[in-house]
Amino acid sequence: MNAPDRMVVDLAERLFADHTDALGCVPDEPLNRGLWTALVASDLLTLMAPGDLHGLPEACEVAREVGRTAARAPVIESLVAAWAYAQCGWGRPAWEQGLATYAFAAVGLASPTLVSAAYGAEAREVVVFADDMAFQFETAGAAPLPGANLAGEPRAVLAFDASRVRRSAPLPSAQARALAAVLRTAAMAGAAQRALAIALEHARTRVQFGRPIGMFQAVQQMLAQLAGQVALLSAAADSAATGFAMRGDPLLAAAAKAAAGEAVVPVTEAAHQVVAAIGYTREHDLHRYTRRLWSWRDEDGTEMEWQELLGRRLLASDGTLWQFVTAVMTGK
Amino acid sequence: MFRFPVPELPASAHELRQRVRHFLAEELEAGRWSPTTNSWMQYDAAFSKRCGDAGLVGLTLPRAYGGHERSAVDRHVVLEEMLAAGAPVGMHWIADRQSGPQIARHGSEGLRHRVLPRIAAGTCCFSIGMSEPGAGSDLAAVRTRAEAVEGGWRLNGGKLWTSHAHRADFAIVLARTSSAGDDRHAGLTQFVVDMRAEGVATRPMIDLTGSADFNEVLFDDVFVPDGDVLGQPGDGWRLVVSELAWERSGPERFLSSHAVVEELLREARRWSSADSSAPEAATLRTLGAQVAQVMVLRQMSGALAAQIAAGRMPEVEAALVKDLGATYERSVADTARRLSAGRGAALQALIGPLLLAAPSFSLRGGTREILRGIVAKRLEVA
Repeated sequence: MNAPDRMVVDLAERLFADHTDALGCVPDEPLNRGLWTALVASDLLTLMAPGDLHGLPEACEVAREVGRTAARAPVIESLVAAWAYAQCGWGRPAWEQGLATYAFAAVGLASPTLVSAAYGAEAREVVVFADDMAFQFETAGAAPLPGANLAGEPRAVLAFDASRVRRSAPLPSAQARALAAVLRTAAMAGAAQRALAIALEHARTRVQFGRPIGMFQAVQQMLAQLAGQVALLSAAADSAATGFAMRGDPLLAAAAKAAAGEAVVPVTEAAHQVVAAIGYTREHDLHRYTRRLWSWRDEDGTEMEWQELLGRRLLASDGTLWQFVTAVMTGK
Repeated sequence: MFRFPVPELPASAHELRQRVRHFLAEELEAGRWSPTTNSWMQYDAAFSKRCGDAGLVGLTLPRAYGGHERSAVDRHVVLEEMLAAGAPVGMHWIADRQSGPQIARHGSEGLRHRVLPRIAAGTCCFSIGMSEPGAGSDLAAVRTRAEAVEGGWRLNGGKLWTSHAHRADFAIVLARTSSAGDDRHAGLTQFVVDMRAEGVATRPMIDLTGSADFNEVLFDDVFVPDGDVLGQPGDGWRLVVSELAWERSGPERFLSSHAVVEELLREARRWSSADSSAPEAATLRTLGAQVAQVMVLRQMSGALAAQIAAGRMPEVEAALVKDLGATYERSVADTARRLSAGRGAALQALIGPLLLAAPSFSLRGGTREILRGIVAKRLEVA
């Protein structure tokens, strides 16, 4: 159960590659219809459909591709929604008829509650997690307030109103939040990976003072530091993908998302510093990845929120921090 | 692209972890030592011997030479438990980490039989004979030289930054045995030098913290028999690169500051019990951030151990993890200082020495800049 199934990973990589340009990026449009249609037709959105966590390592690789290609499609949202529907015995989201997404209600069920959802304005159905319950919520007539995150990805504010709930079932909110965080961390790893690739390519090809700038030690040092932080973010994502799949402990998700969030500053700073002026334009691709990193750091739990959870549990435990770490990581 | 997958630990590793924890708990209860930061530099010959007696040293050395022939993954379990406990493993650390494996791979049969059982017994202290006044990051510039004589070599020169040299049994010394020619890495040889041999002298180097663990070592016509050459004469550069990979691959690269992290937790728990209001967000976030950082660095370090257990030596990945670890280690003193704001006598007593030791974390075993240069080379930037 450890390494993700290679066949699934290859399928995902090929599918995404079919819809990216020579630079590995999808078109910068609100929704990549071609990619989305292909995903709906594939088995990839149903990786979490059994409702358990067995398909999570593969689902994380798909999420990584979303990050790596700056895909505009509710992939993570669909994976989470599919898992929730299965857990609740609702079959699966009807993707053929419309988009599905999820949202978390921070405070109870006081109606109406405002929630923010990816593709909330475009979605046909939203599963809202609140108070250890899952509510399937129809958006028709909900008058969402459309918006976008820092990366320009569609985000909408919806008024969650008990009268629009189609059905509900118990589902631990902490589990849902942890799953979303693990998938989001994987996407962050993909985006960081691409930011590194872009910076490397730039250093190799941008000639100044008669040589590629990658020959200057200052640039090499920055790239090495960038590679280190990308590797750390990637390790956090991989650790959660397999660990959470095996044990479902939200603390694994917490540690991964927190570590990933902390890596965003060093990654984005180094990438923008290397790619310099051209990387600071909308015309160049780097912004599509760094803006996602800044956005995704704040979605599905900021590093502060997850650190507070870890800190609270640690303080409440007996024993050392080391015992806490080894217990969380190995389940013993 | 650097990925760090970690396979699930086998049951034997879990048993070993419990055994080490039991051993350490017993040691702490008996009050034989106190946890310190940088504990892998703390020399305690009696403790090292007790570790050897308990079968916790020389884990990966072949059984034929007194070792336990266990995997690098098992060894990693022992190391991380020792360091997390702040145990004084300094006397046997270098021998266990690099000198023993180096001799097991490149030493003569006679040398292996003479030295490896003593390493596994926890009674053998090794120093690293690499750096010199004129050769730090630029190790190929070593000027210590050895000339061939009847039955062996005559060694002349000097080394610097030699930990524990004043009480070491042996040192693995890099010396020039023939001229470089076109390749400055050519003509170097590694020798296992008996530190009690005639002609070996040491002088203490007092470091910034005020301790005298480092030494200057002088070799004045020291005789080294042929049997104590590692590999072949001229192999020195290749061998020293592999010894450095051993040096860079361990969990001490993120656990040097751990004693402060544990004391910070103890102190924060005192705040919680003394004050009935909820812990401050800053306390929760700081502790939580420590958990997250330790977890990911442990993941990466464990992945390296798994690679070594599979027979690979991921030199570039080791440099990368060492750099990340050193950056984290260096940050701990200030993190603890800011959060504690002077509270907790035991904590403050640990923060001070850690602050003084911290600059060395990104210098020893390869400066941060050299490590990043190694990573940059792999990235094929230019």
